[in-house]
Amino acid sequence: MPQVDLEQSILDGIAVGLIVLAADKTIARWNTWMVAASNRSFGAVEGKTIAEVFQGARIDAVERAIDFALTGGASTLLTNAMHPELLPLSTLAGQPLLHDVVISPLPGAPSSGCLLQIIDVTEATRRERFLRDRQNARYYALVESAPDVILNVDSEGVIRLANAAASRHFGYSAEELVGHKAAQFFEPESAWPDIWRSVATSSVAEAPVEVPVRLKDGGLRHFELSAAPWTDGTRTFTTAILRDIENRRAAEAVLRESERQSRANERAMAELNEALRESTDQLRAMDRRKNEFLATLAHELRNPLAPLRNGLQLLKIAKDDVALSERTRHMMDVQVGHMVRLIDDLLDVSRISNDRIALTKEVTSLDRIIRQAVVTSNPLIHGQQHTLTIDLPPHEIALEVDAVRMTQVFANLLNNAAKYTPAHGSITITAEERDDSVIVRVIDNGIGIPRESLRQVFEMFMQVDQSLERAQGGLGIGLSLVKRLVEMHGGTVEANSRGPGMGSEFVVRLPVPKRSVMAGPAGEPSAAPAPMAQRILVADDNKDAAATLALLLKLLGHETRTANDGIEAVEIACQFRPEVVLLDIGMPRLNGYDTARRLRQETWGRDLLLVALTGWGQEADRLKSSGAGFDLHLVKPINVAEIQRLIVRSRSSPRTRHPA
Amino acid sequence: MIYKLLIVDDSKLARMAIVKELNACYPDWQRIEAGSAADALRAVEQEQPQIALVDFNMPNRDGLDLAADLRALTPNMPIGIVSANHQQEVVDRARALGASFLPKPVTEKSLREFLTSATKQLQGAAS
Amino acid sequence: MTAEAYGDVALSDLEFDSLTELVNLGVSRAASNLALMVREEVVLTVPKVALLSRNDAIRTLGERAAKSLVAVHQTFEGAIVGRALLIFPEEKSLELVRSLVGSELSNEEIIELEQEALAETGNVILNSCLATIANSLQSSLKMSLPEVLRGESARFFSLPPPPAGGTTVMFIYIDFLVRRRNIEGYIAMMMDLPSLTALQSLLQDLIRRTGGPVSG
Repeated sequence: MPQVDLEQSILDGIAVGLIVLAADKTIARWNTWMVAASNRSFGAVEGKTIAEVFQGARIDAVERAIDFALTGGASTLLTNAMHPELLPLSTLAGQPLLHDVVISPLPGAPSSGCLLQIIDVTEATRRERFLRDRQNARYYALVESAPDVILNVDSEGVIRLANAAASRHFGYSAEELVGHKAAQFFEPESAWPDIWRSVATSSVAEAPVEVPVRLKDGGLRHFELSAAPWTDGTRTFTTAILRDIENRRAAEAVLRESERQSRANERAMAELNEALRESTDQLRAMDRRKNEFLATLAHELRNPLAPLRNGLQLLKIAKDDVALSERTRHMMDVQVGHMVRLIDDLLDVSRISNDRIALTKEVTSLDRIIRQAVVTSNPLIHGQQHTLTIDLPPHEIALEVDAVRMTQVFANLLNNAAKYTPAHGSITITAEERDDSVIVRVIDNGIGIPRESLRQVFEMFMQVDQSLERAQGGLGIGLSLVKRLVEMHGGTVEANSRGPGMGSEFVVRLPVPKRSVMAGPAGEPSAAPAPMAQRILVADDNKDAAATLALLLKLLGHETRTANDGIEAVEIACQFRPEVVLLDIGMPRLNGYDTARRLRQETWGRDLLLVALTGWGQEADRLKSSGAGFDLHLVKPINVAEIQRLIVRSRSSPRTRHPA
Repeated sequence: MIYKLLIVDDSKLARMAIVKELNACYPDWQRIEAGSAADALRAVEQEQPQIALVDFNMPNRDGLDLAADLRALTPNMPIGIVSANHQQEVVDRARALGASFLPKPVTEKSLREFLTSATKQLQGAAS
Repeated sequence: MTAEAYGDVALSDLEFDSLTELVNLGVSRAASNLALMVREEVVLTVPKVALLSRNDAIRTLGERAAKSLVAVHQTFEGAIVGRALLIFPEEKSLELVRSLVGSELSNEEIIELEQEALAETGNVILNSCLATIANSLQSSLKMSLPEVLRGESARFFSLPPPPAGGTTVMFIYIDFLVRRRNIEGYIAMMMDLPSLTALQSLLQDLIRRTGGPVSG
């Protein structure tokens, strides 16, 4: 085969474009492939330069390469990737023909020419592009659609890729992220290298790290960072994923706070429950004691009834035996006294429970009160054969107190001392003035009080030793009454004892009024001068009650009349013009209130001392009576001495004039 | 007119090459060689050349830097920057200094062109 | 060409100076050509040229860049024979590629183009250098097409030698600066010089042509 033919066959047969340029850069050879791809025949291009053939094409790179080859013997590879459209070539199907160009010198110095090879890379490029596009689509879908921030950072810490979520979360645009050092977005920047090192040097993604990120708007938000390095063969990159945990942190903080709250609430609940349990226990204990009290009360009330009944029998039988009658009467009096006291106590209990004790304060002397208390508790003291010592300061100490109640206070304390001291004991009552108060002490050498009970003794229904109390006929309310009354006067009471068998001391402190004026009505000592005689009308539908009361008053020196109903009372009063009228409330025809009103309407009725006698001692009743015009309100059974005292008092002081 | 030409290049070969071309153009001119910017400045002080050829690509201080110094010392001295790197930016920077640009390796032709305009410039200034 | 003994061939100061000047010329030319590609000012400077034994070269490169490297490889033949390797350290090369192809492309696209871009960049630099050297020495050289290699530094020096292998390596550090983008870094060029003697004789010819005997 001739050499020339072989050469031409080879040129036309190979699957690459071949152009041979002469030393002057003109085209010397143009193979078939080139003809097909360029749509130019050899005849059309022979002797021309590449530039002339492909006018307008951007072939500077090709021209440079040609120069290099011709002058420097250099071979050049121009890839389609770097030079997308070197020569305007097309495939047999009319599509753009993607190609690489290789330019190399022909031998010789200087070169006799150069060779251009045009290599079709269309298919390969398309396939690559297709694969890449598919890859990118997958990648893009994953990365761009991810809700979390995804960053690609190179080994110098520069962000090379930031997904859409990055811009969304951080507030920076893609341009503001890509190409910038990642460190600048974290707070503080200096923390970044450590984080990065720990993340980048492990081949497995480390446990996520919490990092604060400075957003574009200046805010700080926390993210969880996890990262893994990857390499493309030469260089390493790190893909970092950041998840916004600000809400989680906030929620965690809220949760922690609510847990703390709920623990605090639990504690509070536990405390409340504890307090509730305690008060329930206390209530139960109180209830128990109250029940015991009621039982005792019932028992106590019954006690005097028997002797009273017996007494009546005796009086009937021995009506001629004066001495016996006298003894019996005395005994009955005592029993009635017990009952009265019991019932008074009961009423007091009710008043204390309903907060209904009303004080009638007056200026009086401590001396008088204490001596009256002593008189009251004398029977018990002497009964036990105790020695009583009274140690009061010589000067008068003025007090503004409810005399009756305060006497009750000290009488109770003395009674207690007497009860709880074995026979032949000694009781002392002392008083001293200090600063603005007076301190009264009742001391005994009796059975004492255990330390733990010192405060409890003042509680309602509390009896330290029940058997003893019952034996003495008490209900266990004395001390609580004392405490209440003392406190109502602005004072304090406390119990002291060195222990069982070591005796006890009760200390009452009362405030002393600043002005120690002894003005006003004075309390009436028992040894008082004879009262002035009064005209007294006693009205009660109980004929015997009226009669006996009138008789007693008469014996005291007064002039008396009786009536048995309201109308009669008014009639008699008209004639008798009494100075004192004792009215029972529950009378027929005209009840006590209406009778009182009638009396008050009279001119002579305005100044008289009108006393209501009633079985009801509640506050409402008192108000009602004073509203009807009564001056005083006494609860049956009446103590004549009391009436006497009242009469004397009222007569020696100016009274409120009642309006007509 | 006989002039003094300062040749600055760290490469001896390059200096030799220029000298060779100079011999072809103006064999009787005086030539002063300097291998560094420091040497060049010393030479200017001592020898007072009228024209300078400066290699662009020198270690420590590049030729344009030196040219600026020379310009400050002798405002009217014609200066040529020699470089194989004839990028537009380098050419522009040379022009900005009022210096000419000669591609490397220096040919007789380009050297002659430069020296002709240089002498013209000097004669113009003198008159 | 049979393998010759090396290492004992020492260049004189002027010879070495001339070689350095040739390299500078070549690299400057390369900068110009690169600038045309990049369409921005490119500054390439040569801080260091050294002739080393192969082992020393491996060590030197190992010191500078122990990690994997990317290199463009070309062989040349003519009066002098050898291979040239343009070595790009990791990060900088990608920057360089980015400046070559434009920053509009994504990181992935840049990585994909890296191979071709480096090949072409290396091709231009090596061609410029080699062609310039060849021309100056008035000795024609034929250069092969570029091939991109990846690997450890040691591997580059253990490549099967071209027909005539050698143990002398000319080591050239090239600092590059793409001014407007503030990209800077270095490229290492190594030339296997089996025929150092041939090179020396070419250099001597050049010196003679240029100025004859050494002056000053």
